[in-house]
Amino acid sequence: MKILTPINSLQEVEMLAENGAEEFYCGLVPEEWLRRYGGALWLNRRSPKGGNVPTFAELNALIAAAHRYGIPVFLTLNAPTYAPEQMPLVIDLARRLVEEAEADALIIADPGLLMALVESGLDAPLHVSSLAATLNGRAIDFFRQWGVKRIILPRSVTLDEMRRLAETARGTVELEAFILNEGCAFEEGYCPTSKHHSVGAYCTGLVAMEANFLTARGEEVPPDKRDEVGALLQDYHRWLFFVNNAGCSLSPEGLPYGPCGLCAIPQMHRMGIASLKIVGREASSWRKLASLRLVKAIVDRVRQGIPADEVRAYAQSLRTPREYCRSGFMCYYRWW
Amino acid sequence: MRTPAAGERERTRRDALQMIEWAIHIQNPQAVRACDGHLPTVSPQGNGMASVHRLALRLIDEYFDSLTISRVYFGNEFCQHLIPSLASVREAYGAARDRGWGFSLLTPYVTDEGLNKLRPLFEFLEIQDESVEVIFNDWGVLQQLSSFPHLKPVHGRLLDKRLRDPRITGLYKSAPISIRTAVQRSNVTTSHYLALLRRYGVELVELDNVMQGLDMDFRNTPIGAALYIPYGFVATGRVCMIASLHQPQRERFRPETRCHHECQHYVTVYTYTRPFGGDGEQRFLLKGNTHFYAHTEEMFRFVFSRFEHLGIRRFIYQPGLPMWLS
Repeated sequence: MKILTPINSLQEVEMLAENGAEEFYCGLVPEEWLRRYGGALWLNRRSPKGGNVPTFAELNALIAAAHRYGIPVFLTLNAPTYAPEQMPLVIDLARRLVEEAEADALIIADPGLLMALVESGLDAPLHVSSLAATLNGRAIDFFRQWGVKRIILPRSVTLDEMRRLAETARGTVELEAFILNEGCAFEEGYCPTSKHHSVGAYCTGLVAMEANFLTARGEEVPPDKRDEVGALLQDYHRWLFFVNNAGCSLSPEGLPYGPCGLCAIPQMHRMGIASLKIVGREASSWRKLASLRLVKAIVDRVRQGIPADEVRAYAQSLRTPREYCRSGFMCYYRWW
Repeated sequence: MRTPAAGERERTRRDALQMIEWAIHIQNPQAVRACDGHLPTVSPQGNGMASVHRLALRLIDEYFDSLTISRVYFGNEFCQHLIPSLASVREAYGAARDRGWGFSLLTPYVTDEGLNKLRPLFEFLEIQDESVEVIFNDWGVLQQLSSFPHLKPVHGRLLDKRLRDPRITGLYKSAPISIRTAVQRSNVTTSHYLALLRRYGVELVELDNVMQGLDMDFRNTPIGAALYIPYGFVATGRVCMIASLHQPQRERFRPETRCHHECQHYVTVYTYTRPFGGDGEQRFLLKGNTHFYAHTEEMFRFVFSRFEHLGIRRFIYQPGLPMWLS
């Protein structure tokens, strides 16, 4: 079970590698894309300037540096869809990432692109993005037929479901699971909304909108039900706060708030989950480092064979203030 | 005086009007029996959706002289807790066949549990008539359908991943053409995607009329297109706010929350609380686990006036927010 860490600059390699990163993922947006679309359309799931390695030269150096540590680097080509006129550019970029920059795998969400890359004979492992929404065993079969190496499970997969999917995948395809930072209120693969900074995520924006509950026939909710739905909405907004990284804040100890699956690491280890993904390519280097240390502290204990209950208790002790953790709203996987 | 070119255009339009297929998404088997082959004059969801429904009917009447329903859609695209029972599918299918209508089963994105619910429905439909379609919105469901060679798989609109964000997509209409066309198209018309669909025997792709408009021409592809009216979806997910209504606080907003179909009792209307750069009058409609937008008059006119140039051969009419328990 590896720790997969986001990265977006050469300067971060040494810091993250020395602190326990075992896999990296990042993105790059070529000049040609920027000339055509500027920041209005995203080549991958992060804004061109905010979360991506700025140049090919830096990417080459980043990958070379990571390889000196023995750390593979995966590149995101994970827009949920590419229009026909974009495909040649994306396929050419994929080729350059693999053949020139020596990327170790490409992360793909669009099945059309997946097929195009497979049929082009590109010699690189392909990872299926969580945006492809692989929620069931037959979806694993669907992607497995293209020879993919890894499938990234959506955040909504529960531990029971993950266990069954791991059984389906065993020995044929690796599974990767989210472990820290940034949730999704909706199913990521079925939420093709914008995250552009001018509007923010759709789910975040809901908090600032007026929500009016009506009956199914479009009439006012009866007075005796209004408090009930009002309390529900209040809780929902609180949950959205955690889903969206608790405002990207840090605890007094400098650890990131936001969605977390640390308690589930012992179970994931037993299931044979290949990789634990920390989210946040666009985050500051400090936030990446703090996230990595948090995950590594738990993974180390699991590797040492410390009993699961003790590992969980330790994980919970790291999440302060405790009421955030106890609320359950910060959990990717509520295992109790 | 009418020019020959104008006459030709009119003939093409007339042919297209005759070729277009109308389907209706029906909420339960009884409604199939009650349907007289025309669109219902009243929305099953009453006053809340009445204005959208009225607008749709008025414009359909304006653009399409005579409209006859020839296909029933049944089931749900968004939530595995709303997958109909086998008994219900049997009854709806029987009612559709009695009318001589085609039958299409809508399916959502699913976990293994959801796939297990779908299997008996597929087994039943597999041995029925050749009109039966299954709309898949999950690649695992498509894979499952490959074991049922008599069922026609149809690519659902949830797999059309074009940017769909009514907050801003209207703004793209004034963007440079390279940006505007990119958001009006998707992977669905790329050669490899089409080849993938053909490999699975898919002949029809369903779409939403997103606010930035459509720039996809299916006329020269081996695949046809269908379009939903009058609602499009914005986002959907396994976490359902209203399903948590009766859960203790700590159990709320989990994908595995036990569902009691609370969605059948409520709809939530979201409106802006302050001026917005796009259309400040927009409303978003949350029903169950899914947010929807309704067509505006401009959006209706966009597709009704050029559906033949887009290669659309079917409209699916949903008389209410399509989250009913069948």
